Amino acid sequence: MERTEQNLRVFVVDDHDIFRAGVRAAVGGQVDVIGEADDVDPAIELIREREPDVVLLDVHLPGGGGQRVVDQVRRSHPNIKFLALSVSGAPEDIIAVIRAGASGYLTKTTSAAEVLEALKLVAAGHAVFSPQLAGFVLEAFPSVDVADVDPDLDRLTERQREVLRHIAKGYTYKEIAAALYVSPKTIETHVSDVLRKLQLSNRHELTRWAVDHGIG
Amino acid sequence: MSAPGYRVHPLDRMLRWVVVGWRLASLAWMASLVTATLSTDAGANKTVVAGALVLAALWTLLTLYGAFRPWLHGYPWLVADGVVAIAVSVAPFVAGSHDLFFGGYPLSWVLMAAYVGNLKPALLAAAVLGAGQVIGALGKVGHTATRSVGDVAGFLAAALAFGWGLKGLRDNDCLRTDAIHAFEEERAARIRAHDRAEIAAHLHDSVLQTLALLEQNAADPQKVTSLARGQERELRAWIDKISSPFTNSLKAALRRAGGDVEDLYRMKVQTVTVGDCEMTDRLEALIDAAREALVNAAKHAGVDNVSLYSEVANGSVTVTVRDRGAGFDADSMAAEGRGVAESIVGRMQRHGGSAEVRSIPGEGTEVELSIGMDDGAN
Repeated sequence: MERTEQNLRVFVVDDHDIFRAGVRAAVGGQVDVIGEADDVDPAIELIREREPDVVLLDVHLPGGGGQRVVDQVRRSHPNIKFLALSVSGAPEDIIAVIRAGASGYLTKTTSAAEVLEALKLVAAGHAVFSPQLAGFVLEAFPSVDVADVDPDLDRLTERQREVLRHIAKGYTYKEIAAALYVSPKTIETHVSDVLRKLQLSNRHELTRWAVDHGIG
Repeated sequence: MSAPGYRVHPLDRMLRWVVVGWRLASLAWMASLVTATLSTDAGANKTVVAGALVLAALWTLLTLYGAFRPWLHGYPWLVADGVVAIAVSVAPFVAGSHDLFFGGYPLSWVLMAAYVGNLKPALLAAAVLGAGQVIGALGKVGHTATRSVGDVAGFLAAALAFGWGLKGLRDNDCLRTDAIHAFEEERAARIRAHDRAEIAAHLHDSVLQTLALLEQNAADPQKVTSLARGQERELRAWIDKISSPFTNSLKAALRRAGGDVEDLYRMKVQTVTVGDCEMTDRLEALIDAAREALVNAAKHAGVDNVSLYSEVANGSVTVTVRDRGAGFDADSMAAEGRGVAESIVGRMQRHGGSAEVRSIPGEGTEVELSIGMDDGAN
């Protein structure tokens, strides 16, 4: 192993044994998988005990879902980062986990290399927006003309929407930076701002808007 | 006391109007008796007689007002109502009148009591009124004990009739409501069971079959991948269909187009959709152009995945197909050879839309298609 600094300590929460084994096999050599759990309550307990850098978390878990794990752990350990994984295409579940405090979302079909990259980004405090998540967020946030009708609604700036649109189209941060003539750092800032906005925005308004538009 | 059926429902509203209606009729009856007493009974104190009618009339107006509010349900109201009824019922004795000119008014209190609490308050009200009659009749000329006993019996009989009648109506209504709820619950359970059966049947026909095929083909990775992708697509399309408000949605049509290309060219089409709408003929053209762009990427880009993005906003639909492949010089003959001019740009223009092709050799190609959702838009 060529890494000199200490390996990332990763905890995996998923109710499917096969998936956990797959994650271990795929990223195990590059990061330290320090624990696993297949249900909400044991997950909360073990994560608090072992204090990993990043928790790789399935959105859909029995006993309250991934949302509860994020919510509970972050109350006592705000520095532990969460990266959500799911096969689900249900935007409301994924957005709920992000709102609870997860720093990003990937689909389970994402390649091992991309998962590793995302784990590192999340551990370093960055947000990880997969194309799907960018799409969900674009859907969940009112577009500017809706906000014109109701100025109190949280909304994304046109620049933020532009960045998300690029992510949804499969652009990397670097490619977006080149296309918009800014630095990759600026793109990262935009994405983090969107994440924060998502986590702070009024849940009721987001839900109402999503329901009105037949999302989810 | 048996719990009266105090849900706010049509029966309660109806009973309230029966009570108020009885009181109005009683008042009219009383008014005619009072008129007769005033003109024929010279010995009666006219002020007391007229005063009793005015009191009954004002209280009836207040009852009418209260019928539009939740007042009539309460015991404070019932007590106040009783004070007025007793005053009216003993007025003939106070006035020294020959006739009992109160008509049906005191009975309207018994009915009110039955409305508030079924049998027991009604019986109590009747007993109080009866006692008033007996006491009032004592020592008064023209009022015999027999007659008083008759009045008391009449009040009690009315109380029994009203109290039991209302209780019966209410119990019956509760039973009916419970039966309706039970029926609705049963029906909802049946629908859920039907849905579950349908989901189970679907999973059996699709997913389990595919898993069996995967086991059989475990040695052939390409076949396994293609089976898994096909099944994933089929399952997602089915989930989209049962959860989508649209019968034939743009999202589903795009996923189908992406799936066709995945199957034909063994590449991954990563689809992200923002917003959705019902398919139209114009949007069919958009889907065809998008499929063409995907096929071009599959044939010429030399990559194993391509992004498909759609956004429905402000009355128009935009679809972007993007690959990180070979790219080409958009002005060269190579572009012509790829059918870009005719099957993408031309097709979009014919249907009132537009297409923009951006490509950089070595970096990839992005095709952006845009069309209005309605004729004349965009």
